[in-house]
Amino acid sequence: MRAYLPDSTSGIEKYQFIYHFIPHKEHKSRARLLSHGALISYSFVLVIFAVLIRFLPAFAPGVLGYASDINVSDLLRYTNERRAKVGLRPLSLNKELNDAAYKKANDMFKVGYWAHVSPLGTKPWDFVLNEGYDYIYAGENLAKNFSNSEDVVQAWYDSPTHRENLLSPNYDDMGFAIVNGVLDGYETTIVVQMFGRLRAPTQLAAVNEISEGFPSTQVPITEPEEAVPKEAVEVKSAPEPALANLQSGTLPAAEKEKGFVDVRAVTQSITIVFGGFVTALLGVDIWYSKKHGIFKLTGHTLAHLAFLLVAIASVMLSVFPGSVL
Amino acid sequence: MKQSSYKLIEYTMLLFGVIIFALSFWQSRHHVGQQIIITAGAAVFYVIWGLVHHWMEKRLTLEIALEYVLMGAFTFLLVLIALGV
Repeated sequence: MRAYLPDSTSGIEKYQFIYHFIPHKEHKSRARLLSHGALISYSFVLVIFAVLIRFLPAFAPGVLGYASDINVSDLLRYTNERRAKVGLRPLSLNKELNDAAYKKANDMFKVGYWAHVSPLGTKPWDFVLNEGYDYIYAGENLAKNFSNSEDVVQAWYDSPTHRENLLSPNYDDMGFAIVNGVLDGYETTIVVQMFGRLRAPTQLAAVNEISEGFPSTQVPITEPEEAVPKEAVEVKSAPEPALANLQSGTLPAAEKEKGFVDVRAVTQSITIVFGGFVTALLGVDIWYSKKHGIFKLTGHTLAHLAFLLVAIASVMLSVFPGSVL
Repeated sequence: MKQSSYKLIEYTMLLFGVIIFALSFWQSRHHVGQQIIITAGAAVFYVIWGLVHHWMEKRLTLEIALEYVLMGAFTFLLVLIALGV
């Protein structure tokens, strides 16, 4: 519908609809899409999205998830590159530690926990010992929801306690598991990294458990406790990394899951669309008001723009949905 | 103190505020909980800055105060969504 303003109005201003996007000269007001009502509406829609993302997994497990492209050879390479930078020798991939890591990851999906020690009391070292790896030193790093191998190793490196494991001279061997499954309703990828050094028969074992309140301690080796029952686990897992494949560089990644909505892509798109839209309107407001000398009794548009732009830039540069433990 | 000096201090404070926010946010990039607290703090800071700014200019109205609250809330929600919370 077309409405006409007084004769002095020309150009795009003769279309009332345009005042949804530009300030009004006569009313001395912001664009309608920057009004209080509009901002309340955007906030309301964002709350709806937040609630949906938060609670949908409880009603429809596996619908939302985190897409990832992580593989063992990259994890091994990035870890050993970090070690080389500080003059440490590279760690070797060890089959027993791979198996222990794989069983730990499966246990987390099966029992439903995100911790070093399971709710049933199973410790990382139980998995290591159960695989017949008799250690003098052992350590474990965990990661979930990351999109690639480099981010995983970087996140461990950025955390002082995890970095201690990555750069420890006490280890000779390393094992990885990259397993897909549903945890807390989200389709996700868990990465388990196990470290170890085999012990000589007369030595005591030490573990480096990366978790707050669990400092490295010297503990005597005990017989491994009975692990949780080995029932069928409903996880879509990567095949166990085979040492034979290491030379050819074909270590498997976790299977790429299809059929779920990637949380990372959805949340970033929402942020860009809503943030970008309001940012653009604020930019137009500044430009148009200056051009036509419109003085409005409103808040400081440039301050709004600066605050919003910094927030969006921070989100783009500093939001990594993955977490380490 | 001249009006222009007040303004300079105000805008410098805002600039420092957003820079501190961006740096703290980056520093806590692997700790979602900390990022939420930092963003909430930044939103509150921004609202207070807006109120003080307009009060000093002697043109603080309920409508302007509401505008800062809404902009702070909108930005906070935007970051919250991006964090997947």
